[in-house]
Amino acid sequence: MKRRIKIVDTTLRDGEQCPGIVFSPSDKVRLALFLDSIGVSEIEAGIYDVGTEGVHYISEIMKKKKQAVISLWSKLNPENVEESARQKPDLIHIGTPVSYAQIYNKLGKNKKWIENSLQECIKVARDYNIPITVGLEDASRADVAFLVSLIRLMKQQGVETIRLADTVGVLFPRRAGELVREIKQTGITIEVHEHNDFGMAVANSMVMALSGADMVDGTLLGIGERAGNCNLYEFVHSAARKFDLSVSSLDIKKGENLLKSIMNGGKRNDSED
Amino acid sequence: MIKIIDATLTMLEEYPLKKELISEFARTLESLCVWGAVITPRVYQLMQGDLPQGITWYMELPNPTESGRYPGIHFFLSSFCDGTGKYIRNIQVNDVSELRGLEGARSDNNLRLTGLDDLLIYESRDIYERGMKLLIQASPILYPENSCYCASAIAADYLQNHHNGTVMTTFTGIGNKAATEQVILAMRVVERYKPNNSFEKLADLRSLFETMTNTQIPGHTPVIGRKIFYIESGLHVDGVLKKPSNYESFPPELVGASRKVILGKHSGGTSIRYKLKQYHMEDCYPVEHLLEMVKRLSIKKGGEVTDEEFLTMMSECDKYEKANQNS
Repeated sequence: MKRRIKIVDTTLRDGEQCPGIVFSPSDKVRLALFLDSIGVSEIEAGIYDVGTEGVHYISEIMKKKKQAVISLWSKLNPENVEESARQKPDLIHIGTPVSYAQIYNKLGKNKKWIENSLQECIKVARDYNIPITVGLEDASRADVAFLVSLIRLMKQQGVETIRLADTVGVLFPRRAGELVREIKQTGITIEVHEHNDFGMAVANSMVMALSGADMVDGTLLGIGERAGNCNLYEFVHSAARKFDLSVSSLDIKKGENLLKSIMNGGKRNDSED
Repeated sequence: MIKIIDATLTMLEEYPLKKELISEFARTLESLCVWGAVITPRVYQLMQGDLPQGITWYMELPNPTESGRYPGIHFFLSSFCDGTGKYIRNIQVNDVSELRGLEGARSDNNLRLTGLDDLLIYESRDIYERGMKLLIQASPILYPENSCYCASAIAADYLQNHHNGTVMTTFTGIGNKAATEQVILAMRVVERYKPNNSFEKLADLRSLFETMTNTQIPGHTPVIGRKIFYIESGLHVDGVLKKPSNYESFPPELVGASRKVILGKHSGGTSIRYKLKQYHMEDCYPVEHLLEMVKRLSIKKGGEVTDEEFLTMMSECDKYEKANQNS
């Protein structure tokens, strides 16, 4: 029997961060409901941001979806987590910088600040009774000892799933597999999130799944920052022989066609949000 | 020493190639530290045997007895040769388990293995480890195919495991192969391959390839896409402007590209301040108001806000300010 790997689609969140790509709220609802209908396990619907596109589309997706987990991405900020929680998604994903480059250069903070902020965010989500996953951003360039200590801390707080994000796409297959095997020792559920800077996102995701990852992220057409994310069609097409993915590459192809029609100026109806 | 051999010219049989473009393509490959280039008899005839120096020339030649017709070619690739001297024997490997056939093969045999699409999709890690060990022992030219979308990763993985390894690739991965540019840059960034060499000529290679094939390479193609250093989201713009390596695995200049801040739905205040600074207008406009206008327009038009549109917004702000002062 094939091992189950859950597919997480992040077209509506990380995919839309590809410069120049804009989804209207109605586009997001159409795409999300299509992805839900073909068996995608989790759909990252967006970033809570009332000032940009409103929040009604999230409740509409939540109301109409059949089976997928709908998640919202939040910064490592208790207020953001609280705002996300008020939208009542199935899951909140908390993006947590973990490499020294991101912690010290980007945020100007330190490891202690990360630990404290994360605990505050976890507490807020718990108060709203909404499950979370923690996205370890730039995990591929992070100190593994820090990752492991942070994961142990999270587990004590009840977090069950972390996302290993290869934020700048620098993993090679060998290191990608090693990283998963190292983190797997903590007993946490692992989701992997690959970027395609060297054209290795699909291969790395495959090796990480083979090494014990439980969930794989990707986007339709592989859209995303820079050279994009793991291309869902390519991953599903290659991985289906090894894993039970609950979604077929043929259906993903249909999703790509829907996305293309939207990006080519398909009919919009934004009056509802 | 790692060697990368480019076989792009063997994939362009159906295109109307010109001698000058082929020469330029080969010279550019050499400047990118590509060890060799593979051609076909047709390309050789187009070149009239006048092959640029500085690069090792290989030829796909099904019938090795014809090799005497092609002076200047260093090695011939064929499935019907013994793999000695200047002949390299090609073997198609469709499954990682077929690597067992390499047991006993010595590294002084000239071999090229084509295929191995599923090397990274292994049944068990042991099978992969054994396969890689056999590959290192036989040290063939590895020419991975891309039916599992893993060819560039397979080539890079082989070179990372085998520092005297040789891979064969094609530009953009044309012909369902590993992509030359992806393997070069991955080795450069992760393995510090040729650390003092500039790879900015990749942009020239892209243009040459587009001319030869009459195609346009998509903007977000890894390494060579024209838009891979375009940034829009507030979080990323802020991070990159603080320190580019926060969100870039290599600097754009390394591949002859440049960074550009795009305005749109996902922009943040940092992007507006950055653009205003470009126009020497940092403190002259309300950032939040402009940001709101940018987001609104981006959502309305379903795409990025151009610099011209941003300038129009700035002038609208001016008019609004004046009207308020007069009222």
